Amino acid sequence: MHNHFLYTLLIGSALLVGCSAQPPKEFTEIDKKATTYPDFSNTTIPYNIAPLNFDYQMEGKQFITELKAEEQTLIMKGKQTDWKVKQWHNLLEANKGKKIEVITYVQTDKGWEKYRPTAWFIANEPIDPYISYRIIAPSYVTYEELSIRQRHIENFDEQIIYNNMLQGNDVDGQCINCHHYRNYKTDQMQFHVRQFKGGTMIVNGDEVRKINLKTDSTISAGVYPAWHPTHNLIAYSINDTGQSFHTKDNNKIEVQDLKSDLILYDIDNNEVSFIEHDTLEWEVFPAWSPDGKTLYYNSAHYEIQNYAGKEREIIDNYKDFKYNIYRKSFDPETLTFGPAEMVYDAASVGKSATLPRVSPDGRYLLFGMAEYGCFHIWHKDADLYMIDLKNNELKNLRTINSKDVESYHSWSSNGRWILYTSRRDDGGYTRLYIAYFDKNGRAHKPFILPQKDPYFYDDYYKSYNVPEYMLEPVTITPQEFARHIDQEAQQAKFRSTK
Amino acid sequence: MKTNNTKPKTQVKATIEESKLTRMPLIAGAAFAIITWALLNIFEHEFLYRVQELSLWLPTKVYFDERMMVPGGLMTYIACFLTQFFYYPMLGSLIYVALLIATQLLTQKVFAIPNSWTLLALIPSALILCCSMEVGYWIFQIKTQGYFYSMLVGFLFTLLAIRLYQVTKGWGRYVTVALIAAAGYPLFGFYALLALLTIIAFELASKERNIGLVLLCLAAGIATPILYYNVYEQTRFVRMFVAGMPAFQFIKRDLGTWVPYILLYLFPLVIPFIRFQCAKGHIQTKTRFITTQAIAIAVMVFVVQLFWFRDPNFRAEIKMNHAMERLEWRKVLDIAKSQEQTPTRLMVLNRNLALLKLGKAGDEMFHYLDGGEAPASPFEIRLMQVGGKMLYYHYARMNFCYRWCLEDAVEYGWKVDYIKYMVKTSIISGEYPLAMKYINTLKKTLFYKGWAEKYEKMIQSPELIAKDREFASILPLYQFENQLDGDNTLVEIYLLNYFAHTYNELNTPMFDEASLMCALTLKDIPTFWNCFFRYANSHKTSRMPTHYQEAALLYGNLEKNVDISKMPFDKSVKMRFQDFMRFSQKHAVKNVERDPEAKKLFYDRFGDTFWYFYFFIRDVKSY
Repeated sequence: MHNHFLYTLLIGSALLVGCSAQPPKEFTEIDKKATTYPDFSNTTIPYNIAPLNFDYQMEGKQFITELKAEEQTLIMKGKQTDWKVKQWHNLLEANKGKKIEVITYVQTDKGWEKYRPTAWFIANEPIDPYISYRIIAPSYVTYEELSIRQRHIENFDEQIIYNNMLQGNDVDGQCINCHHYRNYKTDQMQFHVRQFKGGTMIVNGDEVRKINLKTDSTISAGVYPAWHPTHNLIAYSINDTGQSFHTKDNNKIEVQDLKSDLILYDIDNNEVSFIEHDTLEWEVFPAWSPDGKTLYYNSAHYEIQNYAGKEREIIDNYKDFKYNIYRKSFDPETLTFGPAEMVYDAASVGKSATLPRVSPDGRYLLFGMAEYGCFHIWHKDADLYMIDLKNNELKNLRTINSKDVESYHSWSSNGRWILYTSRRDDGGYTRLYIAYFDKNGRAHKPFILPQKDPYFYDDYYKSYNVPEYMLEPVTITPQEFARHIDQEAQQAKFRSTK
Repeated sequence: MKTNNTKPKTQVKATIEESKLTRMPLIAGAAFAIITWALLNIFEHEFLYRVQELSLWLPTKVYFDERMMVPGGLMTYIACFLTQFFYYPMLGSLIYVALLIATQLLTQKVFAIPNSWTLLALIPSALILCCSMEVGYWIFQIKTQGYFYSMLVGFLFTLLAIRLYQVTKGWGRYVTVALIAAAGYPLFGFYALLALLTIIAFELASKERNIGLVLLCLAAGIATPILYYNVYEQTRFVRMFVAGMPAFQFIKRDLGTWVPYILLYLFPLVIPFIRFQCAKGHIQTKTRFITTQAIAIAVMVFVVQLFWFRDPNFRAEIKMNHAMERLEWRKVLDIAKSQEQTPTRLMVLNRNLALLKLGKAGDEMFHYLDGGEAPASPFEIRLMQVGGKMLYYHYARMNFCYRWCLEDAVEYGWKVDYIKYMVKTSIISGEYPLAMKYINTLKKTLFYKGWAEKYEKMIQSPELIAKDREFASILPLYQFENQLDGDNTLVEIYLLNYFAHTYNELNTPMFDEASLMCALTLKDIPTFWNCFFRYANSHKTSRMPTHYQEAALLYGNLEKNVDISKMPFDKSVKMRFQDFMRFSQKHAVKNVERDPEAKKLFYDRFGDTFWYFYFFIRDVKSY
């Protein structure tokens, strides 16, 4: 009883202290901004994003953070912020289209100091509430535990969509990759399972099927997918991929296609047909325009000189593989494609473009670019670029690029938030960044995907890759996926288009 | 338990009364502890140090959460926590034996083992010791984190859970069973199921058996893993029933490794059915008592030594590794010299690296036993896993060292050993933010904070890098141009070919020496001459070492492609070569290199020359 009273008193006192945190009345103004990790200062954020928790990387006895909006204020005491989700959202929602000042007070031996305020600009447009990504150690050849996960980015909830250890084991490893959704909805989605019990998992409404997309006429099963926005069709690149290792370069590894093509998979008829099948072209990364009438993709032109030593030649000449951006018109009724049309000749400027993705309004083409190759996650010079399809103007998105890798990118369904991967933090581990893209075609300062613990990324030894937006969560459980993966794969048929 | 109050048949013989043996558990436990602790410290302190290097414990939420993602997560967490104390082998082994004694005392209590049967209570501790010490080369490959302690922590939980069942009565026992299943299973995995099985055994062995409790245990034992399958999202259904057991496979190859585990798991299931014939008043003859104790001790010692992995090459590799970490290159050579059996390739490579570092390769590299004994491992082990990373690091193949640290970390779990190399390779490669990530991790460990801070200072002041003794000895080999390459996991073959066949203007004298060493090992004559002249060119002012002269003399005579007549060979080398030629003619037999007698004759006389290596060290397989 005595203890009970004591605990009540302690908890009560703690709450009182928490509630009563007030900015000091007397302080010295410091003309510099407070240093925090992560650095969220002066970014534009969606009103439905999870709290941006950060830690002050400064010495001080006490810290007070004040989020000051027009009519509301949120105050937090402590070196590390841990905003309550509900209070946070109330504040942000009430300040859509406005600015919130972030004011820092630090108590030192000299008394309280007030640092120069920074700001968060609250955009009017929300971000899609869910994202999914693959969690993978940034290893080279080996892998062990891999998972595709979904994150509710309005808070910190993360769930596993599928984990390869539910089926794979020490002897029979299982790789999983390329999760993809049709029109940001999860009732039509796919991901690949490689090696043990391999196949492409296709969710089509209530049906979950495992398909073997490798046919006698194609070089591999489907790899990079693009689900047609209006029809039950998926365009894939098919790739025969190899890896070799830099002995000194910080890029460390080259992932190269020894050959590649594009195919179209007709889900309803379980048929595969060629889109592009040219031995002089290395095609990859298909992406539909929002209306489904155009297919964008990358292709590098390379003529093998010595077929006997083809593999060695490709490895030795890895810098000669420069990918351009092409597009083809498409008639979904007849499943026919028009001729290839160059969209951006990256090779002509000594560059290589990858992963073209058209904004939901069809106006902008976002893509990655580096000196060579197509596997840019290992290329430190890889940056994001954009073409305004209205006037074909090319823009380096300097605001969102860094000295290190920027790679895989996605548009939110409203076209206002670019989600992409970057290795800017440490050069080795890929993290997710989000940047606001305004109506004037301007990208704003990005921010890292917020975590409850600001130092989460410091301690986390895995990379995030293939970030995709979703409007809703995947509701199929990992165990259900495991049961479907356990089944034999249905063999896709090959349909000749000649 | 039955009581037996019958008096001894004869009063003449010396007797021992059960009630007088109250100190027996402590005495036996203390003796076991002291002997085990002494053995571990005398023979295995280097191994124990390596065990903690191949483990990692961090006081972070991310680390804890990752452990808890599979059943038995807390057990692993505790096991990894305890493993780190082997950084000081004496302290670590003290904690280890203390827990073994706790296991013994708890076993005695839980199973009500009479004092005169104390040695029986030591069986689980002895089996746990077997489990820990049988590991050998598994330490590089086992995927069970905190392997060394996991079964000890798990079994202790089993005993505590049973004890909880024993001290509760009536409905409390049902609650206990539910608690063991619902809370124990997620935290300790299979060991919670073992506790449930043991409770069943106790109930079945009891006269007042509670069938309801038996059925509850049975249902809980089956249902718990099934229900939790829907909670844990990274464990296969069948693995749910064995979660927390060591990650050996259930195949013929691993059967031997499973034996102590199986015995350990059977122990609590069998003991409840034994009716000990000794109550407090029980008296037995001293002779009988001593005889049974002696037999029990003998059996225990036999079993423990049977499972205790004592391969000399394994121990030598571990010792060499530690010496190399401390840059004690002479000690590496001393270890190589003290070996009496054919070394593994790793030992040969370690030795050659030490010779290169000390500048003695040309004069001494054939003064040691050579060959290629396969590692004493029932499974395939790669040189990459046991020592390749260190070799790549010292031979300045930073990207390859980093790569294999990462690859093995992904497959076998993060370890201090890997992270240390990732710090060092990232610093040499100029990737300071990446190095800082790993440094920050090591700063959170109990024992590597100081180590990490040393390298943090280098990042803050990069001018310190070239001044560092370790880095200074590596940087001369880091002068090469980037290229795309691959090693196919064969470290030795890769290094031999790389150094023997690489030449560019960046090469340093140390690089040329490494090249020539590799050319000698390859026994490729044209390659040798290329490397030889390069070496001669970059070492103009110094004397040509003996082994290089020996090779030049031999190759010059075998193939007349290079005119060696004007080369300034040492008189002693020339005379010895003539002696070798005469000896060869005298003992010429068909396939002399495969004739054991001839081999011995040549070894006794020319075992310290390149010529012996060239003709008699054959069919060496790297791995």
